[in-house]
Amino acid sequence: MFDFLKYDPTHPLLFTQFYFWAFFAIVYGLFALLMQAGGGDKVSRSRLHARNIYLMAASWFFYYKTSGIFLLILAFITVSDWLIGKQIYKSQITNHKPQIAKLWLILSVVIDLSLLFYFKYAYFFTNIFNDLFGTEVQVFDIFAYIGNGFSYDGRFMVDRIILPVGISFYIFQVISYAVDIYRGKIEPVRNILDFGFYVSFFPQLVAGPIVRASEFVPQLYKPFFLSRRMFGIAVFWILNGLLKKIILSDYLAVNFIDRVFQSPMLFTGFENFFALLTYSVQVYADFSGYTDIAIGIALLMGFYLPQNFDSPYKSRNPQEFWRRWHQSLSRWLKGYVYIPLGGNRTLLGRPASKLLASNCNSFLTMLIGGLWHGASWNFVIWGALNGVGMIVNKIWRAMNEHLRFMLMLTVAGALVAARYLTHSAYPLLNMLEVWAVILWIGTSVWYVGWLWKIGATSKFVAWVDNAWAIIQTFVFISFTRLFFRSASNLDPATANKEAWETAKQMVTQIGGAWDNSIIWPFIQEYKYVVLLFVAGMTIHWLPARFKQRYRLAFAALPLPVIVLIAAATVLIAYQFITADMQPFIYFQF
Amino acid sequence: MKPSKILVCILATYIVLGAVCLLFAGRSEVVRVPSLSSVFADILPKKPCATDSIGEITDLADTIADLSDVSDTIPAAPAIADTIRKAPVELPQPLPQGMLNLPLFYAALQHADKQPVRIVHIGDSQIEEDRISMIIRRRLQDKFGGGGIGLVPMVQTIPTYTAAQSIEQNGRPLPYTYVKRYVAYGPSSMRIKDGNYYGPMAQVAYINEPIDVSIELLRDRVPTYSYDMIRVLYSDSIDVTIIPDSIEIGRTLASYQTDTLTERMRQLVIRLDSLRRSNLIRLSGDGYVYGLSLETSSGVQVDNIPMRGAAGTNFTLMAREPFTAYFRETGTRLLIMQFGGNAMPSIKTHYAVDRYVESMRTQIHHLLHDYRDASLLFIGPADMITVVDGEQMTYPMLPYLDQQLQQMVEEEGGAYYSLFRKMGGAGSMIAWKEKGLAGEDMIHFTRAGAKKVGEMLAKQLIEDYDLYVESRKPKAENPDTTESQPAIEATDSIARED
Repeated sequence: MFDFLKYDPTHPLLFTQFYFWAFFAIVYGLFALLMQAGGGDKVSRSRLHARNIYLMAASWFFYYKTSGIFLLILAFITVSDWLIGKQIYKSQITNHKPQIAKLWLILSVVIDLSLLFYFKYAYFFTNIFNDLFGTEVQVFDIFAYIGNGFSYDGRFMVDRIILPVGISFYIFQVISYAVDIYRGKIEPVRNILDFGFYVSFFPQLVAGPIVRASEFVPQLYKPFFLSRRMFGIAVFWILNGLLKKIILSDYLAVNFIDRVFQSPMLFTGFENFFALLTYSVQVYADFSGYTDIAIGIALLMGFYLPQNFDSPYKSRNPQEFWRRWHQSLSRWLKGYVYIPLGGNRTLLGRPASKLLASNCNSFLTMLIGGLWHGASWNFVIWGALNGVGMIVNKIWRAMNEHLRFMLMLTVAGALVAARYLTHSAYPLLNMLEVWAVILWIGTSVWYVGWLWKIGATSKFVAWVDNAWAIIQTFVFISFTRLFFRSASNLDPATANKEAWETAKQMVTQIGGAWDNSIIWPFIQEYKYVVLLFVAGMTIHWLPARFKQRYRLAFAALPLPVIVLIAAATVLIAYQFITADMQPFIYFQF
Repeated sequence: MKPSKILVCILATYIVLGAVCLLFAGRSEVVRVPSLSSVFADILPKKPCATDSIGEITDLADTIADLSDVSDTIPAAPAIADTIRKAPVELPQPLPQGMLNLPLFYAALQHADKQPVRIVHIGDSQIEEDRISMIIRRRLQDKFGGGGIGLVPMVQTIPTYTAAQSIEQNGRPLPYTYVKRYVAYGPSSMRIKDGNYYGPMAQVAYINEPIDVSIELLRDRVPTYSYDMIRVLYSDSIDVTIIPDSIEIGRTLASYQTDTLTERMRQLVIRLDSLRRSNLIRLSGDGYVYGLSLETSSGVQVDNIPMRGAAGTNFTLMAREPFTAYFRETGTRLLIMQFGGNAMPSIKTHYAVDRYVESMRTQIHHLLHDYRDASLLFIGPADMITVVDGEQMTYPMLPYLDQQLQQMVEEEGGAYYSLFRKMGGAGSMIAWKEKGLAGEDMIHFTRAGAKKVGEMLAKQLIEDYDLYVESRKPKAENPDTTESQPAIEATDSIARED
């Protein structure tokens, strides 16, 4: 009878399901009672504490429904980091023993990262080991083995390590907690249950944003407050997120993108290329949509989560992109990886020139960031490409116009020559050549304009320049995702091989011969996919001020109208959930 | 705002939605509204999938020997002789119950060490990239000998897992679009304007300048055994040269043979001096190339002929002669047809199913009208998922189509392999997808899924062959059984497996 309360691996708790919204309504009902009963706006400390415990219990149920017994890991790191956090503070501040504090910090980071490495990177490092030494070592799940010792039916599989949902997020969150205490930025949370609430708060538990303790912990002790306008904004974020997730992300994925990445060779070069661009829209809509919903839900409960995306495809270069994309991770990597590595001051612990230290540490940070996203070489390549892109762009911007023109002329010329000499036999070379020639044309136009001072003060020229930089950045970022998406959603045991093969096939198709005659038929047959892509990019590129204006306009609507719009939005989203699947259409025979 | 007021707003939204569901569910086809019961069903645990056999299927491949390597130890093939064309055909005899009804094929397999046994696997996109065929080929070649990959088009637009193939000119790689191709199952712009002569691959390449075809058998996924024979199907005024051996046809080659298969299709069979894994074949002149085959002169050969997007109903639009001539020339003993999936989305009624099935009957008649020496195996469509009112489910007409196809194929004396039922029946594609065996479209198999299907088919063919051989052993060799026991035993054993 109560099976629906049990963990069901085939039925995780997702923001796009009715189950979640029923769960949320019940949680909110009791939350409202708790906040309302006897206190009004003046809520006592004990009531806040009760609220925190209650929301932690709800969050743990949420995580149990999503990840089952892995709730124990969440519980373990909650206890471990809370205890160690106290010891760090005690050694650092009370006893003035920074070396001891450092040892405690190291212990905390080792425990946290060990768990992350065990569950996330076991296959990756086992494969590397086997490749290096020619062995056939297999992973063995020690936790499953121990678990079987306690269960009567040996229910856990020892030959397979399953990745707990959200572990990458909450591990990073607790690391930031320990480091911030060590750095003296925050005091440890007094009550373990309050700390447990910070670690497991359900809206952001499985997909972020990664909330630093310094941002969230103070909110644990503040009474509930939500203005009428912020309520409207919260609803707006939820609806916005739902539409992004269901319409843009899921529809595009199911009806086009997943099919191409599944079997790139079934599709033409153009289709593969379009799938890459469309994937950029999909992954943004998926991730930012989820975050929007998380922010909205947290707001309804009076908690403020940090912004995670700031129209990233408006970026003019890769550095700017990473300031706008997954901001909570970028900030985390900057604060807890880039700066400890030496930032722009030291390299491997030694003083170095600002340029060298900054570039090398940025590159290393991007490599680590790549590996954080997934355990396969493709993610490392993806991180490396982003790192290289950032460095190259930084050097490019430091050049004068003459040098830029000559450089592009040389690179494009060399690639054209290489392509001719190798008879177009290398698809990657073909792709680079086409891109280099496009860049060379753009650089040449800019160079001529600069030499003769054409349109130097023209707004139109500035607009074109901006659009050019944005499109180049978008294409570059989309291209790097070829490796990212190829490695996503794979069995970790075979991820390396599968991901590499898919990436190679896509490069083969995109860098091979294109049949341009299929482009128009493709647009006609995949009109909804193309329309959604265009609509997604158009909305994305709307000016921030315009977007803010309609958000505020929505928030100011009367409550009954907001309710009706919310209901209508859900029905619209439902039309896309239940839409007929795009028929399979072939353009290459 | 107080939490209680926010709660009221949340509940008000739910009430509005609930009322809409209550009042308008199922009323309109334009605006879909779910019923309340389906909404609440989201909370309840999902019922297990219709199939339990998925577990068995998943484990299947693991129980079979590794495919990772091959040895090039194919027995030396006999000299090219008329043996290819004159393989003995055993008269059909009753087979043990439960076996696939492929008597001509089983009989030919018994002599595979002396005469080649050709399997022509024609299907839709499910068999692209040589996916399913390569497993069947490898398993049968493991058991019965043979090598090579069989027939390939001159221009391979969809790379396979078994061979790297490209076209070039003077050492310079060419895009596949360089050569004009006519494709019977493609759009009208790719059809032959004044005729219907496509050859046995349902596609033909036209050349009017020298083009080199480079083919190399791959080792990385499912390695294929080497070949020692090349067969080229072409029209008049085409010259063939094998490079780098400089074997120029008609001048220095010792072992070759040319034949006129039909009025418009000629064949060149080249016997190589050793087993090979790669060749460069130069084609020149002004004419058509219908295909190239890399094979051995004994053992099993399996051709993979995928017809992307085809429902299998366009054979009648193609000339029959090249098929018949090819079957006859290569000693084809098994024709595998794998269609139905592409017809499914447009089939909405029982009548439409019946029409499609009758059309397929006509196609079978067309293909085998003048050639009776091959058994027919029809592989029905896999389970396919569509969305009906937000619910993922099997195409409603698919079970009926599967049933009708089986009836028709059996009436035609062929064997039917219900992939739909072997997968687990309605809804099984969802389970296959969850196990990484089916794609996101829940129509196509993934690489792993296609491998499973190939293993299932190969296993069945080999087991049935063993049963066939067992059932034909002289009774004295089996003293423990009575006269009628072999067939009964075989039947029982199959029934137990089912």
